[in-house]
Amino acid sequence: MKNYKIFTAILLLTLFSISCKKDYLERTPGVAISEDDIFADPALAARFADNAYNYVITKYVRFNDHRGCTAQASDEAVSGNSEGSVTSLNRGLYHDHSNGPSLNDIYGVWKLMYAGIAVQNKMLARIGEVPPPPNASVPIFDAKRVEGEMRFLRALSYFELTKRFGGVPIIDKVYAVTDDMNSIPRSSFAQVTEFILKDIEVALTKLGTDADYGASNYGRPTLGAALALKARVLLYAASPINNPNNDKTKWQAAATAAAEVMKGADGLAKQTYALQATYGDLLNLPNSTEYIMMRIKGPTPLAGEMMQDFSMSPGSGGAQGQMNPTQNHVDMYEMANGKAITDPTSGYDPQKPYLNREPRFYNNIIYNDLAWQGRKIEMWTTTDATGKTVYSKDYSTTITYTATRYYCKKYWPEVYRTVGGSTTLLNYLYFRYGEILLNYAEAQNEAVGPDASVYAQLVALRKRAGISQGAGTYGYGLKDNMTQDEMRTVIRHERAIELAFEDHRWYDIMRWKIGAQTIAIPMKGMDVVKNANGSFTYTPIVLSSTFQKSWTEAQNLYPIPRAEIYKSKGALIQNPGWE
Amino acid sequence: MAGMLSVYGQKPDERLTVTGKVVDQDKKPLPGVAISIQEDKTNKAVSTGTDGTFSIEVTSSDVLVFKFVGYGTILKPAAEVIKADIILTRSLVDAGDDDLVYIPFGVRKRREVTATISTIRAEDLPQIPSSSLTNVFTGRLAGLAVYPSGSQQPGYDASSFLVRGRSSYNSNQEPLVLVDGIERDFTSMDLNEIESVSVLKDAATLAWYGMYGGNGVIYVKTRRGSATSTKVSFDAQAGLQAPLQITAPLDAYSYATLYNEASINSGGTTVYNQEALQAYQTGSDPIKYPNNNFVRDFTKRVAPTQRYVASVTGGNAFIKYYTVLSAYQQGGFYKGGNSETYDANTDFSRYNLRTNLDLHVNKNLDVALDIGGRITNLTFPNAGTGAFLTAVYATPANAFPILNPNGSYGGTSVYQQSNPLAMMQSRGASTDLMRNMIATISARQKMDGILKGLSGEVFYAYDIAGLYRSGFAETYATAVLNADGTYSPFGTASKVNYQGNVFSGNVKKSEFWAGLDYNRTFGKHDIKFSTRVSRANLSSFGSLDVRREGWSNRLSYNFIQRYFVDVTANYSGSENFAPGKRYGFFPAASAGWIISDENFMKGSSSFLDLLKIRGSYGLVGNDAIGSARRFAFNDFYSRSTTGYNFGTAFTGATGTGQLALANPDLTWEKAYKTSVGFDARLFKQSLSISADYFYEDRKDLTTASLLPSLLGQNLIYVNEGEAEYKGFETGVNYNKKIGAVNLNVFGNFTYNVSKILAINEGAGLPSYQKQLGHPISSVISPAATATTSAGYISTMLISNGIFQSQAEIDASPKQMLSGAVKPGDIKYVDQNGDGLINDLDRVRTDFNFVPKAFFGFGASVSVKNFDLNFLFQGTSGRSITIQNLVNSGNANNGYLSQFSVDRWTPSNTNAPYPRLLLTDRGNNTANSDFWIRSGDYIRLKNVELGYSLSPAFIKRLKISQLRFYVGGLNLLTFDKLGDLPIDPELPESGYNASYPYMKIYSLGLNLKF
Repeated sequence: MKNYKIFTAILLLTLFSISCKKDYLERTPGVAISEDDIFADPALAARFADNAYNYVITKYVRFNDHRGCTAQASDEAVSGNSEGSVTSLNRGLYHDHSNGPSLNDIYGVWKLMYAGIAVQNKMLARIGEVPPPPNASVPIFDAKRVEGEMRFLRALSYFELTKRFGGVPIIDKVYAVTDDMNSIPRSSFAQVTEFILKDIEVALTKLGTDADYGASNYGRPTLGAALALKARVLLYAASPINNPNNDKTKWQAAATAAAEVMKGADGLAKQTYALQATYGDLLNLPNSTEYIMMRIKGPTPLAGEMMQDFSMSPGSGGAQGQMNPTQNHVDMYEMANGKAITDPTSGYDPQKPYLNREPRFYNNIIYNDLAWQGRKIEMWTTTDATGKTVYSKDYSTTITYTATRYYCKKYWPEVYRTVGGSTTLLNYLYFRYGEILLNYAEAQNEAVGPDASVYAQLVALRKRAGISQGAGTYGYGLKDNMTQDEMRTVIRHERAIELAFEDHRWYDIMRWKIGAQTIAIPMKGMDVVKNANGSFTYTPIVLSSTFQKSWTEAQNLYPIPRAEIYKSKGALIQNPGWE
Repeated sequence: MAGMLSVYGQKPDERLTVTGKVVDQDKKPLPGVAISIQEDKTNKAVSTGTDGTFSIEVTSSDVLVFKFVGYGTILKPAAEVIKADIILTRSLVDAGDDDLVYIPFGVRKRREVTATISTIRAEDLPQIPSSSLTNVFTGRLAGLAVYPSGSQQPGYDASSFLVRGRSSYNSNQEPLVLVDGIERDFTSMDLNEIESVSVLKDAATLAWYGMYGGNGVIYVKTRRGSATSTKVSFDAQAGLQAPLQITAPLDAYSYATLYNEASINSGGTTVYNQEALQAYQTGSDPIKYPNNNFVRDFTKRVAPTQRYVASVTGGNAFIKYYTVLSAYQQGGFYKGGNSETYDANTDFSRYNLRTNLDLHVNKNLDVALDIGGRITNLTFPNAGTGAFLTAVYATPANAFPILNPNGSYGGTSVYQQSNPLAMMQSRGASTDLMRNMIATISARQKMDGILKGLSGEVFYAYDIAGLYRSGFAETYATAVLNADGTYSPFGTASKVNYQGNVFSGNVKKSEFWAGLDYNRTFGKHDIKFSTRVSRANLSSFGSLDVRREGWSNRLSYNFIQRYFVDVTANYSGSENFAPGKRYGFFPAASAGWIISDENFMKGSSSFLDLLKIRGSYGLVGNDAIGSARRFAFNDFYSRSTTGYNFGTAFTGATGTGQLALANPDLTWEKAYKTSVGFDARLFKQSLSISADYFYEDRKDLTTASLLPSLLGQNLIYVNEGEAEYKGFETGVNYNKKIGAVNLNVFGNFTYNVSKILAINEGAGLPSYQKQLGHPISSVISPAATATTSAGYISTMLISNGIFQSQAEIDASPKQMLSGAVKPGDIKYVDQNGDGLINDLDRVRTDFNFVPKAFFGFGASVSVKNFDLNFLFQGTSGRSITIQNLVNSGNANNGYLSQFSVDRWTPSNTNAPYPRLLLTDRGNNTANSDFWIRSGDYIRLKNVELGYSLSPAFIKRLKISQLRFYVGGLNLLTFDKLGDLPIDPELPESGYNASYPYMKIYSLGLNLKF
């Protein structure tokens, strides 16, 4: 029997070969890319740099993906279906909000910003290693521009942190897992602001203009964007929350920074910005002279996204209809003649509340009986012949319908409808020229008082809005010879209207410390009854307890996420009131 | 070959009468020994007389089989019988022909086993027409918990296994399932493919698998051919399945009344007026005031199932074969729609084919070849099982008329695409065709020429599987009839078309084992040694193939079949870990002592036939470390991330991003397993008892890193966790023949508790929220569906009844979970005494979906032509939550369900559930112990009653057995849920989006030739 020997030989040979081939588990890890691969390839390095943009705030309706926004935390609106991420802010349950779904405004933003800062630090640390790209008309990897972008984004990230938390730890280099980061303490607000300004100064030496970058790179930060960021950073630094002694030099610095943007092509921005002629489509343009920096939102599905899930009325095919502006906000819109509705001479008729309001009202708010997408918006109730309540198309007590009898036009432009439309666009504006004018007006008024340059900015905005000029030196409903305090009130009011729903109001309330006057007051809506003759009866009402908001002074700053406090074992000190 | 032919080929078919005598090893005659002829078609058989003699007519080529209980079976060619007495040797207790225990790449007599292994033979199991085999194994084996863990839709009915207990909080600890030594799916095999199923529970056997055996092994052995007889067997079964529990939807009137109440509670006004309410009651206008019962209209009370199995087994000294072919079909329980092109009702069919061949090539070489295939076909509605069931269960009765007067499908602006009729007949259907092919070839060569007792074996398995989806696609439109007689449409209808076909899930798996065995007895010493090298490779498209490698060794020694020692050791590696940290060594030792054979125990021999004490200790690993990405020891960058948009043309720019940070020190879980137990046989081996105490300490569990977010990155995992479980298990079996009655009673019981010994938690967590020191525990909510996995909850608020008055609310801590708290809302306990109820008052609880104890008991009885067997199975110390059931629904249906009827109202203050609300429901939907219920149950898992026709009668039909039987699965359940109409095992089945859990009544016949 020879074959068992052959068999044995084969077996032993197999065992031998297996035992010797040590590298059965040792393999090139597939097609994955290592860090060194990234920075050795200009194309990949450019992508790495572009990825940093995914770590800044890029949309208004961002809580729980697309179901809540800061407008609903402020007095601008309420959440019709009491979305948990919004109500946790409304009730001051910030620690609960912090644990809420992505992208919540406390822990979500904290993590997102530091994740972005890590990317920016790494790109800045290794930018010198990226080999020069082959010759091309548009360079694949523009080291100078990338450095400017990283500095700008890092400044923006730290600003987003300071505006929410005050001083935060400064991470300015690449850390390894093995480094002890738990002992890094918070820097003061002033230190972080100084760090931000330093980054902006560097960015100003690296960045170019929109014209330099070309249309395909529209939306990247430019010199103008860096200056606009600087103006906003300095405005926040001068604001009551960060400037308790009202140091006028801080306001002056903020005014100067805003003025630098306004110099246009003659200034450091090297390009001129101007107000867009039409206020109504500000969030829906591919480009505009008013845009200093914006993120164009690529075609987004209508269904399952913000538009159908959040903004649209169920009567128009919306699923939730939960973006509901408050009566508090609606009442702030003046009449077309520039007078407040509380002014007896304004011509305001409480039973025709939507008649002759200033044009921005019609650009921002969807109200009862508005002609809309080929029909009338119906947010009334009526009593039929047998005495039973009948609900109309766009309103019922179900939580999928509006809680206030308003929807938000800024988030639901008329072009978007379920029939025949499947994708939507809505830009996120980082900076627009209108804000710069308001920043300037606010800072200049605080620094030197209501001089002509302050009035001029308000006039420009109100004129663009379409308010009639009327009488007076300045006109447009602006009282002549206002005191500094009167002017402050007017500017804050103008800001609330002009920048409505653009992610400003909530943080303005925090920096002005006016939550007690704006948040902790009854949130109101409108009751609309359709009468037998077809007319409507309008009665402002206080919304149910579900939609009321609470405020304590601790809310002027968010708490540092509790888990981070725990992890730091004492190195991170919590903000007052949140311990 | 030549030798064999010379034996069998001499004088073919010469008839002769053989006489002889059978004696035992002491030369005493043995009466009653059964003698039959191998491969005989006539089933001729004789027995020895009182003097041990026999006489039988044979042909010269026949082989005689001598069989006697308690003695080793002998096969002898008829030609050789004449020459001398046949000597049958008495077997030791637990060392008979049927006392084989299969261990990895080896076989032992039960007596020799020092490890803890529980085995069930398939022939002892009932035949159930169920798509998943797990249904017949539940409750049968000590130390093995089997529980349904996913959708019960035909073709899915996912089940999970747990061996002994949980010691890892990162996974549910699914054991390795091996079929004939290879990791393969066993739940979709046919029962008739299987010979036995064993659970390997302690380190003594698991160490063989080293890095992969930490969670235990379920070892399935398939049937092989027998050289003693040829048998053809045929089984046919038909059954009916009926949901154990299913939603009982609210009628339109109840719905509208409750909705009004909820609306008023939420600060609104009534929505349905008297006229509407009346119309719902009278049904006067079914278009304007519809009153549907979708559950009644679109689900069947019972659905059919059927199973057919044919098998042929046989062989001779040269070749043995076993072939089985089975077909199984399970119909869905949907009804109501009818499309000419397709049937959208869910439907499942499966075909299993297997042939196991053993070739005795020559006296030194044996070759085995196993080939099998499986085809499954699963049809389901294109709308999706979850979407369809949600529409059926949760659409309000008054939402819309199913059909409008003009024949269009009913819908509303709220329910635009929720019409079940349209989903059944105008939404398309898909079929998933899954094809599996398995093949194993092995060869064993004796090497006595080199060393007596030495043999070598190579073993290679190659499996492929592919999934192919095809079907018909279609969309539908709905419309609502407006007051003015016009219709408003929703959605767009498209004509039926072929669905784009999809291939997915194509995998290839190969595994190779080779090595040597050395088995030899030197007088009183017996040595068995095995060594194997193994390699496995799993390939699927789109990723690098997964590889495994290991060296397994086992040395068994026994002295006079009384003292046993085993040492098992494995050295294996996993690609999941960094080079240099890839390989681990996993040793285990075990010992057994047959104490009953000792002289000092002779006094008890009258009732004690066997008492064996055994114990084992060892280390086993687990390289499946949660959801970490592959090669987590290396830092990687993704090729592209979601684009950020630049430019004015809405073009996205792709980015490259860093993945979670690598942990180069990542290592496997290390399970240190201890097991101590005994096996006993008493009263002439009629009663057998086994019991074990077990303890496992699992170190190096992966747990979250406590790095601050300042790093901007997450570290993938760190190995800083530790947990343990301990408990005991016992199995009892009693066999007795009393007159014409054959009785077998059996039972098993397992108890376990776990404890978390180390875990990275937030340092500042209040003590009542920490997991440390608690058992690994959670309740499941929501349940897994066909497409989503289950959620697990372990921290929750502690409730204190329902607020009955405003005064009580005012006197209690302020509850921050909703805007307003009113009487009828759930009251919670303020854990930290800060006067507020918020997230900080959540408590880590020990409510657990894994039971503290699980058990099964049953019996089989046969009397003359009748036989009956049944099994009760149950759990104790298990919790479920009904939060997701009672609070099911959405804003559209007002969160109303059949449970809403039992809500709190000022006149029903003793209600089990809080008041109804449309908005601001946070207070009453928070996870709390208010919703926890006992998940304990005892269930008549299966029962089977059979009747066999008398042999005298069927002999004339030339068949050897004809048996009719009726049976069932999940027929009776006892639980602690009172009148809550849910299943204690799977609370959400039949509700929300879940397919119901089924009971099955079956009828079958078994035919053997």
